[in-house]
Amino acid sequence: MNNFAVPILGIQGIMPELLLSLAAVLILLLEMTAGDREGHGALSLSVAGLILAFIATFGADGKQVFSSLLVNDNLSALLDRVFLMAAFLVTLVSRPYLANYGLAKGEFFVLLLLATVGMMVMGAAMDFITMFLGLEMLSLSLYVLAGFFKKDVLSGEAAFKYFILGAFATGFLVFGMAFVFGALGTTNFAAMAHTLSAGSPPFPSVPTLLFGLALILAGLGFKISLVPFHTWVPDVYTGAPTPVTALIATGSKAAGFAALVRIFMITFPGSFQFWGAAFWWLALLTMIVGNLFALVQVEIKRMFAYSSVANGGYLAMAFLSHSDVGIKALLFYLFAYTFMTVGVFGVVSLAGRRERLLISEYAGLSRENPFLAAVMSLFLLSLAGMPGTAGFFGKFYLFAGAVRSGYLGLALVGILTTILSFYYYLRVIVYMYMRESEMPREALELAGSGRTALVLAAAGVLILGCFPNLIWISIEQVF
Amino acid sequence: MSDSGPLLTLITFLPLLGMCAILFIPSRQKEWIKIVSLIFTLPSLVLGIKMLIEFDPQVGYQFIEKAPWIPAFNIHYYMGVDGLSVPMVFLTVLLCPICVLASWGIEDRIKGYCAMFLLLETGMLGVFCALDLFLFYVFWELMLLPMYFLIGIWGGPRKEYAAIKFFLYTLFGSVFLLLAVIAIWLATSPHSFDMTQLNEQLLQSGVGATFRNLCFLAMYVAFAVKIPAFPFHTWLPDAHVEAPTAISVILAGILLKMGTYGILRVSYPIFPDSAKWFAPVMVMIALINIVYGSLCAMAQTDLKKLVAYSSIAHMGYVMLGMASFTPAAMNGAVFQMFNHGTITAMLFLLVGVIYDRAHHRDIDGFGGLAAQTPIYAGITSLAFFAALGLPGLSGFISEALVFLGAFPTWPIITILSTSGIVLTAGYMLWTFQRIFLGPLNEKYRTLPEINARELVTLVPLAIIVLFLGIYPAPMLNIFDHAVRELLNRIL
Repeated sequence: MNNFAVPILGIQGIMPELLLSLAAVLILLLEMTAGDREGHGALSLSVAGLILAFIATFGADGKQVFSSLLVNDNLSALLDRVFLMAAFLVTLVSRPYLANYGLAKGEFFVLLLLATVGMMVMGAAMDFITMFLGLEMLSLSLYVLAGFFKKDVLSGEAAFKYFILGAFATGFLVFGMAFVFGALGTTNFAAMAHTLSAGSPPFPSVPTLLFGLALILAGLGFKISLVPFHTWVPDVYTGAPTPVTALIATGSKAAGFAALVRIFMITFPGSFQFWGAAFWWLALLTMIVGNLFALVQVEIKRMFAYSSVANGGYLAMAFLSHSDVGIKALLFYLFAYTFMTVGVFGVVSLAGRRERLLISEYAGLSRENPFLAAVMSLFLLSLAGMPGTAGFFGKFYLFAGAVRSGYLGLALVGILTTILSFYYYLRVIVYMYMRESEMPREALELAGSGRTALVLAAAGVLILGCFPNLIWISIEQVF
Repeated sequence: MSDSGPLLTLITFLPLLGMCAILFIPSRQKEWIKIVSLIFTLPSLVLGIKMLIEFDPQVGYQFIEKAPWIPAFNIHYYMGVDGLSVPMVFLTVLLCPICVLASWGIEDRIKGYCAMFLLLETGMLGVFCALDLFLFYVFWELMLLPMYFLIGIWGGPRKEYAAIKFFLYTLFGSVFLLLAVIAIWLATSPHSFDMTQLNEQLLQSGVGATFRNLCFLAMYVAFAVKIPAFPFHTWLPDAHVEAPTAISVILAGILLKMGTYGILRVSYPIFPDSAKWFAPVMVMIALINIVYGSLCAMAQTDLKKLVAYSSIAHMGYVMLGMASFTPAAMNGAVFQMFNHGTITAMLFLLVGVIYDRAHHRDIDGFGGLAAQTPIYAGITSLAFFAALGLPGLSGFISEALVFLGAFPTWPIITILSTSGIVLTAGYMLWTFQRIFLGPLNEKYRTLPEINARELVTLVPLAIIVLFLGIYPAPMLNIFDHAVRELLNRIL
C-alpha cells in the first residue's frame, strides 16, 4: 500500500486521441439538443476535430505515456496522420452520400471518429492490452457502421459477416497474445524485446512463443485481409455503405499494418528467420489471388474489394525488407494508398447511386460528370502504378526494398501482377470514356464537401507522384 | 554551364501549365479551349528555336539542369540536350502547334482532348531532355497514357481495339525497360541512374558481357515496339487508322522516333559492346522493315494505312543507318529521324484534309482530283516526292547518307535495301496517279479546295523539307559532333 506510485499520465501524449473523442461527444450532445437533421453540424464538428487532431500530431516527443502503455513517437505520429487523413476524406464524402439516402445522422460521424481513435490507439500501442483496446474500439465502431443502412439486407449481411468473422479473428489474436505472455511473462513490447535481447529464454526453445506469434499473425491478417484470411472482404466491402468501405479499406487496414509493424518488425526483429517465411507466402498468395479475382469481377465494389486485397499483398512485402527500409516503404505506400483508395470509393459513393452497380454501368460517366470521371481515372491509374502518380513511387519503394533484401522473385511477381492489374483498372476507364450509356442519364450534380474530398485526394495523389520527397523527408525521421 | 535559365524545364513543362489552365475553362467554351492550348504550345516553340540558335554543336551536353529528386535512390531531375536530342526537341515543339491547328475540327469533349494533348507534349519533350535513366523512364511511361486516351476516345470506329493494342504492346516493352533500368541500378555501386556516367560505372563494377547483352536486349524490346521494328510493328497500322489526324501526326512524327532515339541515347552509350554484338540482328530487322513495310504499303487500299506502312519502311532506313557504325550512316539515320518526322507529318495532315472532305480514305475511290483541287494536289506531290526520296528534297539526303555509309559495313544488305527505294517510288506514284490523275470522279465535282488553316499547318513543314533538301548543312552540323562521339565510344 505504501509503495503505490502515482502513474505518469502524460495527457499531452494522447492529445490527438483526446481531441477526436471530445469532438465525438460534442456531436452526440448536439444531436440530442439541437436536432441536427442534415448532418451539417456533425460534419463541421468532425472536420474541426480531425484538423485539430492532425495539428496535435506534430507534438510527438518520443515519450512513453500511461505507464508505457502508449508511445508518442514519430512512427505513431505519422500513422496518426494516415488515419486522420483517411477519416477526414471519408467524413467529407459521407455527408452528401448519407444525405442522398436521408440518413445524415450525427451518430454516423461519432462512430467514424471513435473508429479513428481506435486506429490511433493501435498505432501508438506499446502493450498488448492497449493494442487490443484500440482494435476493439475500431472494430466495434466499424461493425455498426457496416450495418448503418438498417433496412438494407446487404448492409445487414455485411455487418453480420464482419462481426462473426471479426470476432473469430479477435479470438485468435487474444489467444496468441496469451501465449506470448505465457512465454515471456509480460505484455509490454519494450519489456519483451528486452527479455529476448537479454538471451533468456533462448528463442527457438520456446514453441509457445512461436505459436502465439502465428496466432497473432492470423488474427491481424484478418484485419488487413491477407489471403487466406480475406474471404470476408468482397461481401463486407460490397454491402457496407461505400464511405464505410473506404474507411475499412484504408484506415482500418493501415491500423492492422501498424500493429504488425510494432509487433514483428520492432519487437521481434531478431526472430525474422521464423516469421519471414510466413510473410513471404502471405504476400505472394495475396498478390496473386487478389489480382486474379479482381480481374474477373463485374461489380465495381467487388473489384475494388479484391484490388484492396491485392494491395495488402504489396504492403506485406515490406516486412521482408529487414530493418527500416521496409517500414519506410510501407509508410509511404500507406499514404499513397489512402489517397487513391478513399478517392475511388469516394467517386463510387458519389456517382449517383451506382455503388452496387456493374462496371459496365459506369458507361458514359465522362459525359454526366466529367470531373468525377477524370478524378476516378487518376485514382485508377495511381492504383495501377502509373508514373506521375503516388501509386508509382509507392510500388517503386516497396519493390526496390524487396529487391535490395534479396527477394527478387517476389518483386517480379509484384511487377507481373501489377501489369495484370492494369487490365481491370483500365476497364473502368474504358467504360467511363469510350462506351456510351445505354439509357441516357442526366448530368450529375456533386455536393460541395464531396467535391472537396475528391480534389484533396487527387492533389495528394499528384503531389506524392511528382514530389515524393516531400513526405519521404518526414518518413526518414521515424528512425 | 548555360546562362539561359531553366530553358529545358520551361520548354518541357509550359505545355503542362497549359493543361492546368485548360482545366479551369468551362467546357462550353470550345473555341477558347483550342485557342488557349494553341497559345500554350507556342512558348515552347519559341524557346525551342532559341535553343537551336544558342546550341553549340562542338560541346556535349548543354543547358544542363540537375537537382536531387529522390535522394534515397540517388535519382536526379537531370535535364540536358546534346546534338542527338536537339533536332528531336525542335521537331516536337514544331509539330505540336501544327497538331493543335489540325485538331480544330474536333468538337466532342475538346477540353479533355486538349488537356491530354498538352500532357503528351510534356511527356515527349521530357523523354528527349532527360539524362537520368529513371526520369527518362517516368517520362516514357507518362507519354503512353495520353496517347492511349487520344486514340481510344477520339479515334475511329475500332478505336477501342486500336487503343488497347497500342497500350499493351507499349506496356509490354516498358516492362522490359523497367527491368533493365532496375538491373543497371543494382549493378552499379554506388547505385546510379546517371545516363552520362553509367557506361563507366558499369565497367568499374565489372559486370559480365552476358549481363550487358541481356540488358541491351531488354531495352531493345522496349524501343523496338516504339520504332516499330519487325515483329513488334502490328500495332502501328491499327493505331494510325483509328487515331484522329493530329494524333497520327504525333504518333508517326515523334513517337516512332523515341524508339530509335532511345537506342541512340540509352542503349548505345551504356552498352557499346552489346551494340556491336547486336548489330547483325538489327540490320536484318532493318532490311525486313524496309522491304516488308514497302510491300505491305503497296498492297493497301486505305490511304492512311499506306502511309502507316511507309513509316515502318522509313524507320527501317534509320535502323540500317544505326547498325552500320560509320559517320555517314549514323548521321543519315539521325537526319532521317528528323526528315521522316516532317515528311510523314505532312502525309498524315494531307490524308486528314481529304478525309475531312470525302469522309473516306479509299485510294481507288477518288480520281482526277488534281483538276478540282490543284493546290492540294501540288502540296501532296511535294510530300509524296519527299517520301520517295526525290533529290532536292530532304528525304533524299538522309537516305543517300544511310546507304552510302551502310554499304562498307553491310554491302549485301544495303544492296537489298535499295529495293525499298524502288518499291516506295512505285506505291507513292501509283497512289498519286489513282487519286489525282485521270478523269475527275463525278462525286467530287464540288470538293472544296484546301483551306487557309490547313495550309498554315502544311507550309512550314514544306519549307523545311525543301530547305533541308537543298542545304542540309545547318541540320547536319548540329548532330555531327554528337554522332562521332557516340561512334568513338562504340568503335
